Amino acid sequence: MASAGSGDEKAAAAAMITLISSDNEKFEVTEATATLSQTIRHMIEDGCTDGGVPLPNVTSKILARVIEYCKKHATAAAGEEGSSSSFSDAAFLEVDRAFLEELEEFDDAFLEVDRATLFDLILAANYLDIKGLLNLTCQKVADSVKGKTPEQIREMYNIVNDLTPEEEAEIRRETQWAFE
Amino acid sequence: MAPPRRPPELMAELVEEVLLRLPPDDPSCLVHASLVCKPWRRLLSDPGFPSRYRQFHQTPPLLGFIRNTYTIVSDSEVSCFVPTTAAPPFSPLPLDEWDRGWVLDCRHGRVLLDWRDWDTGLIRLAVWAPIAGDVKVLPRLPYCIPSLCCKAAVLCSMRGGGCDHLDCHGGAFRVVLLGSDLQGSKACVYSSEAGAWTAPASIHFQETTYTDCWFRPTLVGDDDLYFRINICGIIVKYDLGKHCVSVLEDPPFRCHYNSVLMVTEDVLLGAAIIEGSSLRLWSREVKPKGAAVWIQRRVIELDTLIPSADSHSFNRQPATRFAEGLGTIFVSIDTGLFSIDVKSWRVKKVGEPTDCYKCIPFMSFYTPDFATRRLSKRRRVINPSR
Repeated sequence: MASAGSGDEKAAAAAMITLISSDNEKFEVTEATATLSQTIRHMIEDGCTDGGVPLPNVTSKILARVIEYCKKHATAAAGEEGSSSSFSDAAFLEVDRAFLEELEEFDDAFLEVDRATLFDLILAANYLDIKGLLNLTCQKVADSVKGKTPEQIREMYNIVNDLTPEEEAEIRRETQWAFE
Repeated sequence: MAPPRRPPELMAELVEEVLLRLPPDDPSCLVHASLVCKPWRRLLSDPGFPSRYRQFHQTPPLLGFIRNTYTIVSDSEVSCFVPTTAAPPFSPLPLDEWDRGWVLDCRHGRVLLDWRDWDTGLIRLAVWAPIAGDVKVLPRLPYCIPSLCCKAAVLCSMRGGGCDHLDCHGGAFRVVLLGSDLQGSKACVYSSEAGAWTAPASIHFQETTYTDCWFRPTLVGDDDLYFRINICGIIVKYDLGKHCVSVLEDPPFRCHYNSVLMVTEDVLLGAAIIEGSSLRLWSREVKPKGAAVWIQRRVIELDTLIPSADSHSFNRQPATRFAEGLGTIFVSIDTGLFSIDVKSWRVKKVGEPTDCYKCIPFMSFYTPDFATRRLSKRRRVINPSR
């Protein structure tokens, strides 16, 4: 069994949830980590997590990455709740700047994956309804498309051009400025 | 080495999640995306896409500046358009005829040009839609208005939620012209649908008031236009719904030079002022008994907000510019021109240091099917004549 929740003092005391990947690998995680997924949150609320949560759409390789993301961001969410007691403009600007920078560094490193894995992560984030992860991964794809020609985008993501030459010519004619 | 694994196919709603995140400050991205394949094209042509795109990004991007500069050659001000995107989606400014015109206002995707006849002093106005490429010359005013200080605003004709004006590039418009002299102000409205000017509404000042022409008007809500006619504390309000003019007091600043009017988050008249390195935000609030008071709402230290700034950056009293209604303040200091989003407090360098008073920002979304008017008819059908 791969344990993704060990070594954390708080986790030991918290309720644990078992997630089961499509290839039948079990991951034990804290409830705080698991409930970053709205899908799992609803299952916990409905009391149907006994005996583990089967996730037939997510492989162990991808689930391990998703859990890595959720663990980091669950800690971040807990930290934010603790620090929001006194609010002022100056504090607002300074608040946990170092911590946010660390989280950003984590996200950047997390996204250093090949395109197929990135798409797998998008599908998993959508299935598990993890807004932050969906935003992060979709933004990464959008950033990779920025500044690319239609031909380059098709090549990057193996997309077949099924537009007719007439359709293509019409769009290009109407938006000529974008190709100059 | 094995070839990289093919990415799995994404469902249409996930492709849209990606497309929604394409950067609005580079409109060519959406155009290139619409040429990738039919499914992408379909998503971008969906009537709901432009509004979802606007909702996702909230603040429209800066696509360029219109800069009014004085030239010795013609002894007048001329305007030039300075795009801030690599591929700007604009038709060229019709400069042949407009080489002596300058820009009075820019709002709702339209630019209002003053093309004055310097021999007769008569006001001539035209509205240019840089993305649609249309120019409409307005008929002459059928009467005289005080011309010592002329200010004007151009607005989209659609009101009451029919258009949020953030991705608005053409169609029916109105122009509000306010002429003032030492004794009073007169306001008149041109409607492109009626093709005519209204009779003027006027007000007399209680005491002689000098006027100057620095500030652009500020639109609050659908109807209320506020014109600062001088830096001493007089604001003239024109109510488009009631067609009437009134006078109100500026916020109690020690010096009005470095301040601009703006719209607050709760759609009230606001003002921003820079004192030292502090940006102070005020709002004008109406009390239950009807009296209005100016209240300071927020103070932001710019030397900590702008990464390259220090306390010396503000020694030279930077000029400020609030891009009205669009939640952005532009601040020019020695290290550049910065935009500050007043909701998120995100700061972005958008250009070199410049005289902000002479710069009018052009902020708008650009979604290809709106801009090329494939979707405009459908939008009108959804919101008939609103």
